[in-house]
Amino acid sequence: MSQAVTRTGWATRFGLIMAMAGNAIGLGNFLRFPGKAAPYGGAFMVPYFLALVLLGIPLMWMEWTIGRHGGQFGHGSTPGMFHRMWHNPIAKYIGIFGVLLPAMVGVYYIYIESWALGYAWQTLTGAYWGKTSQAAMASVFSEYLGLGGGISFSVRAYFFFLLTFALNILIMSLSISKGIEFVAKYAMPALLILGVVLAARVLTLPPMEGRTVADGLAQIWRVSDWSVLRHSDVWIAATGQIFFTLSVGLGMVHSYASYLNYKHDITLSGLTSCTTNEFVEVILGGTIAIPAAVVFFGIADTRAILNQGTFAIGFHALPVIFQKMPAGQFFGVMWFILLFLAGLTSSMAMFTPLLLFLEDELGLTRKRAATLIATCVFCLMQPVVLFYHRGVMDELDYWMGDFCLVLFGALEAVVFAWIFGMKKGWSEMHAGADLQVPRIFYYVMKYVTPVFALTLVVWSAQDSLWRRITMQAAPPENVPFLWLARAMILAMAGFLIWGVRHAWRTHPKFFEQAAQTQEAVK
Amino acid sequence: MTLLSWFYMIAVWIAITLLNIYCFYKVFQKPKTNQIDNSKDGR
Repeated sequence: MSQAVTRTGWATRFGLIMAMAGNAIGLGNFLRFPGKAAPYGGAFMVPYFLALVLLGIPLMWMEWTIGRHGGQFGHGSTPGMFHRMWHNPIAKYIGIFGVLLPAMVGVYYIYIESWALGYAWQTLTGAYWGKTSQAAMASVFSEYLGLGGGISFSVRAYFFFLLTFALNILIMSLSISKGIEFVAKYAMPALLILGVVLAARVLTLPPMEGRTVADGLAQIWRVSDWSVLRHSDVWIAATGQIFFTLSVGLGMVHSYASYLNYKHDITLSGLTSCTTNEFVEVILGGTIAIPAAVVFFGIADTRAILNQGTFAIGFHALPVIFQKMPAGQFFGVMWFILLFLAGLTSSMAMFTPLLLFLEDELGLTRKRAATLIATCVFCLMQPVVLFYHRGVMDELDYWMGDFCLVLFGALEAVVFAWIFGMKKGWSEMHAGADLQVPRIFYYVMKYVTPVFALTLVVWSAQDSLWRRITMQAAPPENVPFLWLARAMILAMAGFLIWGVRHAWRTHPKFFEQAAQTQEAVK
Repeated sequence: MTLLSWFYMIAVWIAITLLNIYCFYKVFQKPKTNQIDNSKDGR
């Protein structure tokens, strides 16, 4: 177990911030955010920014604090971190969420990420050039995924999936500074440059048949009806988006922060990663897809595209637009590389909690842990790839990337603010801080954030939980596959429960020794 | 886009950009803390 305390961490603070921002900035910034905001117009931004200030940023600070605190005891994942914050046998089991959720999200997220890489290649080679209608591009998308038969499989899609999977595993298996930090330091600036260039291109699009970029921006910024704020759905959409976009409630921030010690700032670094994510989401993400779609297709058609799901705007509509604009092939490649980099900087963090759990709590070497993860995750990915059309990915996304994400966020807010104690938490948070957080956030984190997060859990449960549990909206032929998705979640959860029980039974001395070391360091 | 909508959007864009620039300015203001010494890593 001694390798846990000698593992090398972040090489530079810039690298750490880029990795944390990259963890937050993902496909959702460019595809999910515009899709969530546009149906409500400018009114959406009110709950969105309220949730950012009252929920997102406080939770981000909590997660950095929990991660660094746990890291001092040699814990790189949330089971051990929660055990250190709350000396109750159940604490470490709550912490399992922080390993389970990112790993299971990674199982389907990498496949989506591989589509972006595949489409970048297809755009570069002009494979779909000439398909200038949305219907034609929808067919291209189905063909790319190999939909239509008993299984969804195509050699092209599988090749890019294997490539993306191998890249993620390679990055994960290296040390944090040589793997994740190295990639983030180059990928994040590249992503920002690509985003700014694409946003500038969209903002300078000439009007088409009387439709202007301003009409597109109005879909996100014009408040036509304040009364939508009386309905819970806009609050659920906005607060859910904050959870999703900042990657809070997932366990990845904890693992990254576990490499820090009390000399390292976390308040300013945490806020910097949040504001970088917001720059990319609100300014770049809100400027590219929807305004471009409105200029080329009009408002009604853009809304229809959004109703087809998150991927329709990125993979059906924008390729049509690129074919109709000057130098479209160039901008098309940029768009898909942008999506790929956004996906990669997020996905490379998703297996880190599991990797550190295996290393720190079960005593595996990095090589063995990485091999085990690669093998298990590859097996779990097969149903996602082969039965995509049967809703396996959607089922995993609801439980892991939606409901449980909010639930874990609420639980960690409660544990941090009410059990670990806000006074102690505030002091932990400010150790080595380069930014004194305004005192009002002490009360926000103590009262508002946990209550807000718990309310969101109740809202989410009322909104869809029972319907999802009973599979009311699922076509009967998909039901066995949805059970398969649930079995996958339960299998991973079962393994983690076993792992926690095993670790706490077999390595009690390690934990006490680490605690004593921590006290000595302090 | 109404005039108010333009104002709303530009105000939000400016606020986010300025806050982001301020954060990075503060990060790079302290060159000593910009390097993280691995040998003193807590883990």
